[in-house]
Amino acid sequence: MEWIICRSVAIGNCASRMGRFGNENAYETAIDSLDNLLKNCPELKEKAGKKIEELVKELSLEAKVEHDVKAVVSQLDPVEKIRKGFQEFKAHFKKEQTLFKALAESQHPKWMIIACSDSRVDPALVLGLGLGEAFIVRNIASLVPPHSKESGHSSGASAIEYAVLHLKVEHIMIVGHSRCGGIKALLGMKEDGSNRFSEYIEDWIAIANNASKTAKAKCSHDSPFEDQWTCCVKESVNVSLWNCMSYPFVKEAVQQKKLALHGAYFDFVNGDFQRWALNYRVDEPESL
Amino acid sequence: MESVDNMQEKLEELSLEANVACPVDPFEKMRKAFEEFKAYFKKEKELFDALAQSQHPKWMIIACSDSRVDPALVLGLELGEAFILRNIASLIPPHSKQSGHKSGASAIEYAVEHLKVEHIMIVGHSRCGGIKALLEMKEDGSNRFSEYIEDWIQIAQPASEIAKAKVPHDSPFEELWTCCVKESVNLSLRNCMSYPFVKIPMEKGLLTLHGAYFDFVNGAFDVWKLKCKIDEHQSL
Repeated sequence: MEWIICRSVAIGNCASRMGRFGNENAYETAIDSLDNLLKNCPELKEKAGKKIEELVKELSLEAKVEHDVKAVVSQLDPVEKIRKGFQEFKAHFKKEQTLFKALAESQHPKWMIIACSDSRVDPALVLGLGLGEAFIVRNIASLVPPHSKESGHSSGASAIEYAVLHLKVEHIMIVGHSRCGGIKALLGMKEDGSNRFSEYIEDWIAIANNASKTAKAKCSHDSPFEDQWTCCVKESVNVSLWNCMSYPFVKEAVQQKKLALHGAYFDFVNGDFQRWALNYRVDEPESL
Repeated sequence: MESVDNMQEKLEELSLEANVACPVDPFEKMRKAFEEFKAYFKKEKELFDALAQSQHPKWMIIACSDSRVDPALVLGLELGEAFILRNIASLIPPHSKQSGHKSGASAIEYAVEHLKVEHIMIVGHSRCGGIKALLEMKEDGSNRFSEYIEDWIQIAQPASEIAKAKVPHDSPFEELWTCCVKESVNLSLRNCMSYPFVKIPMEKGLLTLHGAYFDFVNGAFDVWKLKCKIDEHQSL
């Protein structure tokens, strides 16, 4: 009896979490496997029942958290919200005519910022940047692929080229963040690709493969996952910083001290922001 | 009088030396701003406790990297509200198995399939440098100036052709420029739809695609929807 109740509760809670296109089959398959196992080994029913209770608790918590976030974040119709938001901006635009007349002619940002697309890490909101101050690239996990003549990854490369050679920014900062979904997926990727779940996401985050290897080597097997996750995000920022340096126009500007590269980690769990500089120096040759 | 002038000169020399020895800290402004954010973070504990667990943005916004078009600042978006992709000229390449252009595709896949956003908005803007470069590109590549920039913006080449056909030859360049930005947004919207994981929820009414044009010269923001409807089949 308990098992049937658990199952229907699990289905009820799972319903809101099912993907649009395919998780339903995986669920049905798992339930069928469990049914078959318990038919053959009825002595396992008690253990199975306890595990399912744990699962239901976990999923209920997730479902409740989802509900909490939706309750806390604005309930206004999304289009209506941005309409109101723009009206506020318009008032600011009318007031700051000197600034906007100058910006209409050209932009001279001192910063280029590369940040994750995650909705919780907007660099302008977190770092108080005003319009005109930072040229911003955002993608999953704030990755910069290495310089390559064959690579099709020209979105990041073109933005860096434009920022360094045309806008002549003085600083590039790459910002990783806590609880990054892209980096979590990277850590979960099997080398043989047997647990591949996406069409494009894994090909993109594979740019940071070396960060995953480094983080797994640095963190002991019994550390909490959160430690490995945080470490991997920071290592991924470092991988992207070095990839940045692989562009000749970046390396030259850094060597000429016209450009500085920085890494950063935004922790929205604890409300913290760390940053570090990439120090690059080539000494004068000395005779042996 | 002379000694005052000498002093003035000495002061200027010293301040120059001071600037060279102690350059303005580039992080000073950010540091102060982050302190303000931190105060806000402490005040809005309920919101940030929820965001620490997960994000549920209703929007995906694709905007240009241009420093003058930050979507959060222009549209009053708060943390947690919009998953944001930014690149030169807010371009989306078409769905393709061979393409190396995975940054945009992966972001859209994640936003639609995993975050289940309800709206995607692609925002073009006035005086877009990327679109200007596109309009100036010669077909034979004889005026190529970059290593990567032109390879990227040529995604919008069809928009350039449409705009050049639409706008009379003797119109001011600004008109062609504006038209090309809007056509580029429309092209990126169509490219968005070429991804099956976008088309399916759109057809089911679960996802709406919007184009937008932010004019920071005149302080205006226009939006338009992409409507796609397959009518009922009718016998001939």
